[in-house]
Amino acid sequence: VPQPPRVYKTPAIVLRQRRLGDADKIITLYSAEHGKIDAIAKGVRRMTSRLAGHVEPLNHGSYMIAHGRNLDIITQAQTVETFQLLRDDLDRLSRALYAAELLDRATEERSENFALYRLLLDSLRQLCETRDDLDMLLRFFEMSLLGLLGYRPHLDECVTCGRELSGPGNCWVAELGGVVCATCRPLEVALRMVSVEALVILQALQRARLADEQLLKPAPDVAMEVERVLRDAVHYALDRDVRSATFLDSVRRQRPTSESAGSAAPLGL
Amino acid sequence: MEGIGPDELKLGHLMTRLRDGSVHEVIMATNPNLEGEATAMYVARLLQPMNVRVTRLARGLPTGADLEYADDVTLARALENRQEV
Repeated sequence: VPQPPRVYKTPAIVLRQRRLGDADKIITLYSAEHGKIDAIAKGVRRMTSRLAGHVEPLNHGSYMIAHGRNLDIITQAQTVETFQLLRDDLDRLSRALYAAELLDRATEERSENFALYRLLLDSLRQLCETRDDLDMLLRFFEMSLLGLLGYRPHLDECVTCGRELSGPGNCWVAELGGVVCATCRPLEVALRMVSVEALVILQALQRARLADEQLLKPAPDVAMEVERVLRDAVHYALDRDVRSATFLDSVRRQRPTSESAGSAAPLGL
Repeated sequence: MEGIGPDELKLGHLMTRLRDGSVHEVIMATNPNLEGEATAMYVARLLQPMNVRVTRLARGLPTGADLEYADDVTLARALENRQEV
């Protein structure tokens, strides 16, 4: 019987890392060939570690990994892309971290999904390059992620009666995975209303390909509505909070204050 | 990250101390990794309206390291912060 190979090599993106013991870290990778992997990077907290720079979050590289007793061990790493532009800009970085955390929380270990790997990689590249609407890019990421995970929001017809959604009065019901029309919507519960404009954007996002989403230019209040619906959908699908969403929100709140420098109102911290 | 959100950084305390104008410079000594960079950028942005000099520790090659094994980012930082000999 042929033994399975002791080491394997795979392209991957680092989602996050956490400390282990004195000098090691556990690295969570999203790999092209094996899905999400937790692996130990030995000695990366020492200053002279050669591996440390290659296992930073949001690094895209090629990783050589050895099967370990409990956790696998990263033996070699070669960085392909560091997405430096993204690291130097807090607005881009906070969004990239949010995307990485979503993927981490939404997936189980060792369940291969190349499309998800591709989605994160392409989104990170786009986050580096785009000069446009970073938030629309995140909405596209969320919508695609939901689709690839099997939680594709039902947006074209009413989830209950199946009739095409037209006119106002529709609302989003996360439990039903889609939008309910004005006639079917239950009256007793508090619901998230979806305006006609927001529904159009949501439908377009679902059909869009990466970078197409920049052609959608929703008004700020519509964009906010779309964001709330998608966050709700993501929250329901993952059944837990996304911590970097809090960070992202506080970075966005900083924006107006930093531009109106000088008139320094005490910041809410 | 790692469960430390903006609220756990005790920035309110720092802001109070900065407000009386006796502080000339804030030196950011965060880890030279993604988390540290993010924290430093976040705090720097927050301090921007306070009219105080904000600096951060130099990044580059550690003592005792081997140039041959330095990664791109470290080398780039080392070049950026190079000094007259």
